[in-house]
Amino acid sequence: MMRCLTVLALLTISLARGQQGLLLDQRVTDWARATSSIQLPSATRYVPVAVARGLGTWSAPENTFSFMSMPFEAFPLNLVSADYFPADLLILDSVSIVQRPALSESGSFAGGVIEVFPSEIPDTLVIGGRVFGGSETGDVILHEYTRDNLAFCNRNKIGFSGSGSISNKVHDVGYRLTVGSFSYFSTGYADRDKILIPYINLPTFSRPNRHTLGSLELTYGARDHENVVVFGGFNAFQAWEHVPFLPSFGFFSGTLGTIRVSMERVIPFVDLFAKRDAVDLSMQRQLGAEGGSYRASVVSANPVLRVPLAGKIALRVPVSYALHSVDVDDNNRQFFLEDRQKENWSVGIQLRVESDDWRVEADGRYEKGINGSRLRSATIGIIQPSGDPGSIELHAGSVERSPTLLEMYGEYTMWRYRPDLARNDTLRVQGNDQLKTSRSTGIEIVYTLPGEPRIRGTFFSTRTENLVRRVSSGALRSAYPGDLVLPGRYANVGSRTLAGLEIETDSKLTDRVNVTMRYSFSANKHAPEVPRHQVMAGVTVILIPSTMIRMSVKGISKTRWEEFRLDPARDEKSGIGSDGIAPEYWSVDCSFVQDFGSTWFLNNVTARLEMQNLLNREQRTFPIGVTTDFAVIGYVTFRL
Amino acid sequence: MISVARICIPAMAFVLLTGTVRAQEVDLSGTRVFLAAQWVFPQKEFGTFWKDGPALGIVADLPLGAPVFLSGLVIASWHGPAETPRKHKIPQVLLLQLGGGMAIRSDLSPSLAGSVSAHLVNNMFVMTGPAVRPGIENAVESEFGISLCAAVSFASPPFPPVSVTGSYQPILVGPEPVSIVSIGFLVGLR
Repeated sequence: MMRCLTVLALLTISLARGQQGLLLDQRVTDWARATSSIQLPSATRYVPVAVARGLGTWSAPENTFSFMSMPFEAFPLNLVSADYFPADLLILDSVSIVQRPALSESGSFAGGVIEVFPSEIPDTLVIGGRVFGGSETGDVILHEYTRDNLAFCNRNKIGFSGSGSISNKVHDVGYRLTVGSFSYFSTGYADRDKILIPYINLPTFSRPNRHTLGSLELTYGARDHENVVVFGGFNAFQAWEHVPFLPSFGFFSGTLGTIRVSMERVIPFVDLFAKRDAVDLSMQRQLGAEGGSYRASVVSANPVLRVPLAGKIALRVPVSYALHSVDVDDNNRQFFLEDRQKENWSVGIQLRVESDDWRVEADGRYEKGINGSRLRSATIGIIQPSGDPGSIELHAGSVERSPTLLEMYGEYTMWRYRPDLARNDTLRVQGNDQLKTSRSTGIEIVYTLPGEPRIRGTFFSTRTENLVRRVSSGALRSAYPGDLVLPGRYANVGSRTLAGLEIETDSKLTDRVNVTMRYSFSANKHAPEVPRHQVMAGVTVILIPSTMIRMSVKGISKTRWEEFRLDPARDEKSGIGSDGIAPEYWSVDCSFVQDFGSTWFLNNVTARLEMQNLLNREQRTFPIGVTTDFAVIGYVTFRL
Repeated sequence: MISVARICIPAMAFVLLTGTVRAQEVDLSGTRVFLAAQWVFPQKEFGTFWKDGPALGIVADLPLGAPVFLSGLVIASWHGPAETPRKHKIPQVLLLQLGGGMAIRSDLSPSLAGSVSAHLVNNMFVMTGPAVRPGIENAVESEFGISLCAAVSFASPPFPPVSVTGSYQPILVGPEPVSIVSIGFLVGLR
């Protein structure tokens, strides 16, 4: 618990669970959508891809997802997605999103961190369930009949998911067993996308995405006292994905899992944390791309020494050791070509000093990275929680990160047939074992006015040096206009700075009406994939005690993505090239939530109908790949 | 295309939101139900390639507190292909509107009332006939629209109330929305 509080204290945004009892915000995505830093490729798939405020890199995200204060490090091909962690199954208490360089006892987060906090296991037997169903529009079917030669490159999609859990606490032992599944598939007419068709296996492409998930949580001890938590979870999946590492879609199947243990206040002066994250991934052979597979794991042990000090001063010394492994079969031709094994260890210090009016949080970390480099990171936060002139927080930090194994040793090869030249060209994405460590250094100043309405302003500035990105290499072999499948290589691309200002207000107009507004400006000259302007306004109305409506409007200015920019002179097929720009868009979302109380044999029945992106046919957050379309999602949660 | 989900999810929502709201919260006894008969005129691309057609349906009003009503509708209309060079490629369309929204009514006299309403409508374009092309599944266009409606109602007991209605609904099928205009009348069933 202390560990959670420590991390909470680091947070810039801690979004309280909205409207207790009405369960408006249940999923990681619900929280992520409310921030200015998360870009959601798809509504019905509930996939948040994190691009933290100017710090994350879309092509190879740093550690960004944390649970039990330990980073999850087995996302397939660096795809940071809640789809690939059994978190959405959890009954969440809160999700916190840090948008600046951060440290915890067992991880460093140069690009910020999404931390998930599950709800407390209840003292009585609870059997509950959730069912989601979503539909996302794609192409206009009417046009299939009224127009000729349509590409139909954006198909209609449907997603269903459901989960059930049983939990209880017997004496001091609590348990929660959760299982669930998630299916997502395309419907409508067959894809005629010229970009996809030449290299995908169409019958395979029509197969649905499926995820089967399960998790078991065991706890021992009362809150705020000695506490042991064991969490094990898995996700067996088969899915079409457009993942950051690859320049194209791929059909993947595999299993990932995690088991993590924490023991706090059980042993005098020492807390213990340990985990094993692992993924077994394979890709089918496609037209133009050979199949491949790999197994990766991260095993870590992380004791934290608690040094007793007087008064409101707390000192902790976290130490960690982790073993990163990649294992491939002989003659594997994709992802990794040979086995890899790397160690890293770290030693840190955490100091917390608290008085009646303010507190100081200082963290330092010395680490041997998996590329052999010595990494030095430090953060400090000075927080005045409240007062007449308002509360103020000052955070500064500099966090260094080692390149990942995929960035250093990854390999992906595919072929494209070029009809005009009657030949295949090879496109290759390669890792780079000469990558240097990158460092993110930033400050964040948060000022909150006292009283109501709550008004908060945040100034932020972050500079990242030796940024790791996938950059295009060699001549481009475009097969069709707009075909932006690029060969590339991971490289350090110099430094960039992102600075800006965010202002938000949350006001309760009446007992039943709440209004939230936010505007974020980012000076994005060096980070053009981050929108310069973002604005959001939302209103929540409780019509009657059991019925709630929420509407929100979000506007995002255009973004430019270097990975997809193409000089016309290098576009050998069409000469058109691409500016790599995703245009600005506005989206309107609305939700209806109805609490049905006890219905039939079910208790606490809550239904929610949500419509996302109400006015748009599609919204594209980066130049190619999946889109967020108009979507309708229905939810029902209940207890037995 | 949405097949089952697109039909079931809005249907579930409207059943939940308008039909079975817990009795202790909303008085259902004041619910009024009408039979709707309309003529629907497709506009823009929908009107270019499809003809206008008859519609039948049900409209229900649930009083929330004078003069505001929660309103729901289910209306089906039929549209054949229009006389265009593409007529042989155009299937017949069954347009099923499933809507919910709010209405405001004002009594003009003891027997005459006027009302305006706005509905969020899920429009399902169900393609039928030999011109339908095979899809991965049955191809049904499902699009949302916002229907704006005005009505004048006449009530003279013991005869059922009768309303004359007109509505305009842009249907948000993308950057170039289509629309429909409907005129007709309602006859009270309860």
